[in-house]
Amino acid sequence: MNNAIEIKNLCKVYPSFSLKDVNLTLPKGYIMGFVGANGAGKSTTIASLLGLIKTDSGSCLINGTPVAQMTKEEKALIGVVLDECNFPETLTWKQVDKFMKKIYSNWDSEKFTADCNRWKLPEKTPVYKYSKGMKMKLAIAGAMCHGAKLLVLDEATSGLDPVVRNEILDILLDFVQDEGNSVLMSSHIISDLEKVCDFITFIKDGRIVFSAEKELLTGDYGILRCSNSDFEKVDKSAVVAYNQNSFSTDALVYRNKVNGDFIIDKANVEDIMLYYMKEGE
Amino acid sequence: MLGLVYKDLMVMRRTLLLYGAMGIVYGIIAIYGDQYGMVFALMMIVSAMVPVSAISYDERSKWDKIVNTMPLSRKEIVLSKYVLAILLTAISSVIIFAFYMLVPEMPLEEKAVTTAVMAMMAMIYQAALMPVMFKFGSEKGRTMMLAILFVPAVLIFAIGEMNIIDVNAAISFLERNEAMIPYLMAGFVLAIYSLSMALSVKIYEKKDL
Repeated sequence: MNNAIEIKNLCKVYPSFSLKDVNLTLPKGYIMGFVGANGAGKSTTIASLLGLIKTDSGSCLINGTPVAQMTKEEKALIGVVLDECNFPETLTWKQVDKFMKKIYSNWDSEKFTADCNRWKLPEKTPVYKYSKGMKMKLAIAGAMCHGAKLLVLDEATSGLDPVVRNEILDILLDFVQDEGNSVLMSSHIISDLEKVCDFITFIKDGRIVFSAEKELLTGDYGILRCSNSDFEKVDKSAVVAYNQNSFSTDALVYRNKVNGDFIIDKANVEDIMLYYMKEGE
Repeated sequence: MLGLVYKDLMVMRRTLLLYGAMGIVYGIIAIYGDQYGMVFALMMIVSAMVPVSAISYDERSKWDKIVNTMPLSRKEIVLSKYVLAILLTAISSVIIFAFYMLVPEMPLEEKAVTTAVMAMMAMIYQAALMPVMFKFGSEKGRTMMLAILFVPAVLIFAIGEMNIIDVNAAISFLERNEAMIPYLMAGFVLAIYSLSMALSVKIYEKKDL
């Protein structure tokens, strides 16, 4: 099995929102960024993948097996960090270590203690007194101390300052140095994803807009800037979305579909996202 | 699963120490007063509520989400709360029985039976409350708790009013077979506890977290 994650035709219907035919594949050894606006379906997709919610149809496989059918040993190979630190708030990290040891048979107490010390998490302070950054570091330490081969992070870096975010991104890059390890991280901080991700998956209104290698993505798209009259001459099938004022137009375009003498700038992932979010509005 | 019980004991340790200290102080005062039965029953009910508080602590830190990504089944997660409940009831029973030993005028058998009956009342209470907590969460669960306390009273009243069962005959049957009451009650508690566990597991397994 060469895919860490394989989601096929996942559907989940809520009264006010639904996931429609979500498909996503993450090969082993890579980091995938999962982007979308708030409420686009990132957390719902991740919750479905982790078996936290029942899905209506489709399949979610981790290393080729649905979570519900995993043995305890297989499930222990998944490390999860959600948007907050979910450890009991009145405990200290020493106490977290004590009970986690009893839950995970392969819990690495030494690594956990070393990580907590390295990140300067106070030993005797209960979690509720931690800053947001400290809480997230504890959550990450907890996810990485039982031999996980796959890390799933849902908005784990949101609300953190750039320094802490960078530290966390470095931890992730370090983690995928081992080729068997993979990461799926959702975020709406696109610059973070741009720094570390090999793949970018974009979800909008419960549908996957694209899921592709980052390099291909930035190569495929470009930003066209021209006068309004010139824009009229552009083949509209090349245009994803555009902004127009009384003098000029800028548009996200498929590079290879634009014919003629136009200046097309390089588009970064953030540009692509922003234009896609505008599309259809 | 024992890891979860251990975690709950650590999370609740301050509450447990406080309740323990209060229990000992009130227990000693009660021994010198007349109303010790009442105080002991109260101690039992308070300890019966600890697993319910543990559920609300879990909610506060959204523990349910993360614990379900750990190598544990949903069944184990639910049953860990029942194990905690049984453990605390057992400890309270030992403490209360120890207090009864300080009451000189009561026969030993009566002390044992009274303690056992209190423990069983606490377990009935837990059995009724736990599925409600798992279904509705602790916020709504707490208000429903009051309703639950009224249900048995209303049911007994209704049964009496509607003449479904001849209450007097039932009472006189129990009077004639007084020795059987603890066994009947133990059977009832066992049945309702198993039913409650099965129901909680069903509810929790269906839950979207």
